[in-house]
Amino acid sequence: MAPHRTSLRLYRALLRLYPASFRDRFGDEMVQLLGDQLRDARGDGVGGTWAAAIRDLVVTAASERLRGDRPIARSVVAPSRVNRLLGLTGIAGGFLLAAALIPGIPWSPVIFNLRLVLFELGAIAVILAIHRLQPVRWRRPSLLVSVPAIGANAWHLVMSVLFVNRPQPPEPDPAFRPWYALAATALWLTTAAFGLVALRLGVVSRRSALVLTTGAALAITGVGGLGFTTGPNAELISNLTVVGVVMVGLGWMLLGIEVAFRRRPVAPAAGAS
Amino acid sequence: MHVLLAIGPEERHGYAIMGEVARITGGAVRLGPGAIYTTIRRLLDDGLIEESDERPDPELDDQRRRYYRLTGVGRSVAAAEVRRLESIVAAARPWALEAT
Repeated sequence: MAPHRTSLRLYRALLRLYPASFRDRFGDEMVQLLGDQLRDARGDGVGGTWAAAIRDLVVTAASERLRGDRPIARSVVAPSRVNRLLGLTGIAGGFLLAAALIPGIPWSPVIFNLRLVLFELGAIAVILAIHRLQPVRWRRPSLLVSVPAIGANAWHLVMSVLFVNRPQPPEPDPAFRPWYALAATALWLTTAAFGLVALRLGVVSRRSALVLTTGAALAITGVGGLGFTTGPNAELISNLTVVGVVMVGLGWMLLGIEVAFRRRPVAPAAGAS
Repeated sequence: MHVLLAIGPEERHGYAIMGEVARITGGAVRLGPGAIYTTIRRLLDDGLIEESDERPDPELDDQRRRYYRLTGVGRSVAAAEVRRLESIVAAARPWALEAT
């Protein structure tokens, strides 16, 4: 758009012919659209594009003026199809994580770990969806927590698959179990960090992000090898871990619901006036 | 109606809508930014389209673009219009094409 900066500045000034509400809502998009047209116009086409844009502006600004400066009726943004799919995956994953704690379900090791795999896929899906929603200025901090969280979920997912054919507790497995504990630690730490930053950036509700962060912080106490699960407070820690895991499942479900179904108000256009 | 049909089953931004209108009309209809967005405004007001939170990759496209798609009502209206046009074309085809 740089080669036509002066033209576009002039066009933006001419947008004052439109009523304020229309200009505020669509001004940036109209300038961008004309920029696209000028960029793709060849040679004499630039002059023709400008002439057509001025004719179009005069006619449509007059018609909008006649209609008056009225508020835009439907100023909400609906979830995209991709985000809806990612959010639904997250809801399913979060539910499966929490469902493991429903008493009476006979989980075999294979099914139990398949559940973890689906949960981690759901978490990755929601992280991607939330990152996609971030405005440009928050992309970098979002990336700083999203990439480690996705990496940790993917790592834990691989470990969950490997775990299926290995000795199950209480049988010892010194070659594998410390790595599994490390993966779990990374999973909960990066999840807590992701929740904290999501809470700060504000694309999702603070309540959902707080549930996720608190859950991850509690769940980490249950990781074998960190020393919390032995000693006099073992039962208390065990209960806290269970609460934490349920909260993480609930957190991903809430976040999944938000990205899949929540309609957000349209953000005011930055450059229009 | 051109804009409604140009959006079709996709999620499109203004420039894509403009290009699609030109394509489906064989270049006969070329809408400018004002015509595109006054129409979008009316379609939003009438609940025929809605804005999607789809955002392109900032490295591939401008993140400020807004994407629009048909609502359920918009799809119904588009379908009704297509049926109406089809019946008109079907009624006129036998004699109109012969006359030329």
